[in-house]
Amino acid sequence: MYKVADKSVEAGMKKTTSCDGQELRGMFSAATNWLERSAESINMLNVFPVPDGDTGTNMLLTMRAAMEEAGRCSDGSAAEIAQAMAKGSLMGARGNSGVILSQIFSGLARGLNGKHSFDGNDFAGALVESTTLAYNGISNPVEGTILTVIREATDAAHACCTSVNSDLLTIMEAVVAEARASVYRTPMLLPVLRQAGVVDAGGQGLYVVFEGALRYLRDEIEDIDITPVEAITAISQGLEEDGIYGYCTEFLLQGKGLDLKAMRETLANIGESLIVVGDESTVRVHLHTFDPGAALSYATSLGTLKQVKVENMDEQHRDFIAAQAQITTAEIATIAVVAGEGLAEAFYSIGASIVVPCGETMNPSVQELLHAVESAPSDKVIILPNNPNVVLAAHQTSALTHKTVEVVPTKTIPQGIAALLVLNQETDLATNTVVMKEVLSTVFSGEITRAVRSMELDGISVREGQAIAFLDGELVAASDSMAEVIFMLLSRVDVEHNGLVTIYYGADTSTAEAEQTAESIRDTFPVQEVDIVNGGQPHYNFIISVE
Amino acid sequence: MVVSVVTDSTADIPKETVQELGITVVPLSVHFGEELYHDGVDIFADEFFHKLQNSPSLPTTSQPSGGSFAQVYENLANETEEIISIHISSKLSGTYSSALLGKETMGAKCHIEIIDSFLASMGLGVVVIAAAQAARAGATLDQIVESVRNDISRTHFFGAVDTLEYLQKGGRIGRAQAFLGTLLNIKPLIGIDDGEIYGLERVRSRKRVLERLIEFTQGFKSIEALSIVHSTTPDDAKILIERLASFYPEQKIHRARFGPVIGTYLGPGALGVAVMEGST
Repeated sequence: MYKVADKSVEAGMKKTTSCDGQELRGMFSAATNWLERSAESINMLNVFPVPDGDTGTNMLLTMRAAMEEAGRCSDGSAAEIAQAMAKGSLMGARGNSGVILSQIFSGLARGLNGKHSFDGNDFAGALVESTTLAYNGISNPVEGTILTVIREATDAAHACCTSVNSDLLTIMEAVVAEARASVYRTPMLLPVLRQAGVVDAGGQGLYVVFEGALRYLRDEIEDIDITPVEAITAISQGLEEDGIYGYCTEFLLQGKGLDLKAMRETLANIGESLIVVGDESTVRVHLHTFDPGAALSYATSLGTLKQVKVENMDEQHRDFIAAQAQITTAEIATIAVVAGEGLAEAFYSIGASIVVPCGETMNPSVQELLHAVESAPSDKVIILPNNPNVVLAAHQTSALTHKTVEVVPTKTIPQGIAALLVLNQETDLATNTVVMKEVLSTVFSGEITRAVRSMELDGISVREGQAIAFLDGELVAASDSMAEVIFMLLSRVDVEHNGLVTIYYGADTSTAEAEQTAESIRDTFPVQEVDIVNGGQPHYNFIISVE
Repeated sequence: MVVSVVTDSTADIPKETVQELGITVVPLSVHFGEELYHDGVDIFADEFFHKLQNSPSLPTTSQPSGGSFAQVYENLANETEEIISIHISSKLSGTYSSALLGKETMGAKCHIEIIDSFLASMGLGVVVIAAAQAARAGATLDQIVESVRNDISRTHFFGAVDTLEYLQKGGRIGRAQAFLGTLLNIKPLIGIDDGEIYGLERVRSRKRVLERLIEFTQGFKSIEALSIVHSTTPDDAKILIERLASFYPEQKIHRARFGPVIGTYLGPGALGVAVMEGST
């Protein structure tokens, strides 16, 4: 009688001292939901005021992937759940912070290996593995980032351990307190954060994850909703893993008092790979479904649809298979990560085997990259990430495939084009990789966008909405005039000693404006060749290469 | 008696050199619609490239007939007992087969060796020039054949075209196929390997083309013969020659022009470098 009456109390007590698999899943499901509430504010922590590469969204999508996989593992032990989370997050990792987060889960899985349940000491021990793997995953670890936060949180967990059976809640409280303090110290360690006046976004994301887990242990989850993950899981299991693609459906919904939870529940019945993010007034939805019409008409009943995109994945898949059949000579396959239809075509036209679209945060997941690697028409694959925040995810694929994968760490579209152009199918993979890496320094990359917030960085003050220019990833100019910012950018490059200026204009830029820009560049540099290409890339009005 | 050296008009050897060394050049033909021209006989580079850029249809080319080779060999047989006849890669043209046919047709009046160079333009040209110089120095046919085979193995021909369109439409694109169909303004660097065209690299500006051609040339340890060929850009050829001359001050650098037949496949704006490596 006593046991039945106090069941909930006992369960609550139990999970503060130790956790089984279900509770481990509960912890991180709560963490995912907690992270979802903060994702937008974490996105605002980008050092550069650019509208892509959002760390909060990347980490949230990575967590979702971890929990989807964990959801497939019913009644698993702690070890099994941790393993599933590691696998799910690894495949779903997006962006550098997502990849490091997945390494942290791999460490947990390693630390909890063989355990049905775990206590505070076990968790602290597993965090040591997490820290080791997180650092090992990076060729050049930088302090003042998520790495510092996991390391210091791990140290705090250890300091709290007693000789026997440490209470999990106590350890987690120490972890969260230290993670929070560590995040606040990141600007002291990393000058670029100090200049931008922000803390490290990845570190903040990790802190939020731990805090969400702590709230679960404290039973403070009344306003954290943990059901959607399970709903998605049910659908995922209903579909075959391979061979069926359906329609990739994406849209932006605007309305009033939108209920994300209700939308998730309804849409989960229509398709899989469901992502519903946003707030009461704006929601972005992504799902794979056989019936895009059902998803769209449901959404229309809630508000105004914008940016609707429906792509037939079966067709893409068939086209791809057909294209693959034609490619017989590709000794080395190349995969380029590219946003924008025009840029994708440009990469295909110079021989890319597969173009991976960037996804909503401009950063494809490890799984998407791995899928491209596996589909590539060769056992030798070169990946061109074309974005500094995709490089780590690209590296992750090599451990997940039997194919030989080389990553040429291109950080921009112009670098990607330059590298692909020197690929020589008549020589081997290693030589090509070396030659392609060498060529990266021969091209200057300029990227021009509009600032999403005001800030001061490297002595340049930027107002929200101004045109800003980056030269090889560094902020070099800001101005109200797009044309002026382009010339400020070009003044930083020795155009006279280079032969060619190429202008890739984005989706938000008209052909007329692009032509006018090209014309004024030609007037200023009459000896140089000036090319314009309709890149169609999102966010960046212009990408300019000088080589 | 001096061995006679025969080649075909695709060797693009400058006229003065042909005359000076007594080389016999058998012309291929170029057709603009109904009009028929003989390469280097009644049509030359300037007129050809002007027509190429203004003619509504692209020209086609044809190899010399076996009969015309037989005729050439007959005429030479009056002056010599030994002939070496060196020709454009059999993978690019039927000229080599025509030469073999010509030799068969005329019977055993004199000793003729016919050699497939697996090269074209001045790549073939520098080999022929070396053979003619050896012949004039009194080498025997056997000696010349042996040195020609050796020279062919040491000779490289590479260059740049403004577009691969001419090679593609002319059906000579070979392994450079992979470089086709680009949306970007690309200058393909191509070469001849094992007798066929292949893609070497793609660069994005004229300036880079010149830099890369110079770098490729400097990549050889030693150079025995060097030639620069252009179709319509003498200034680019001049830059190449000047830069290479400062790098190889001792080296004579032949300057040549792509003739009508090679020009049909490379188009305007093409540049070529022929290098015979020093023997090791």
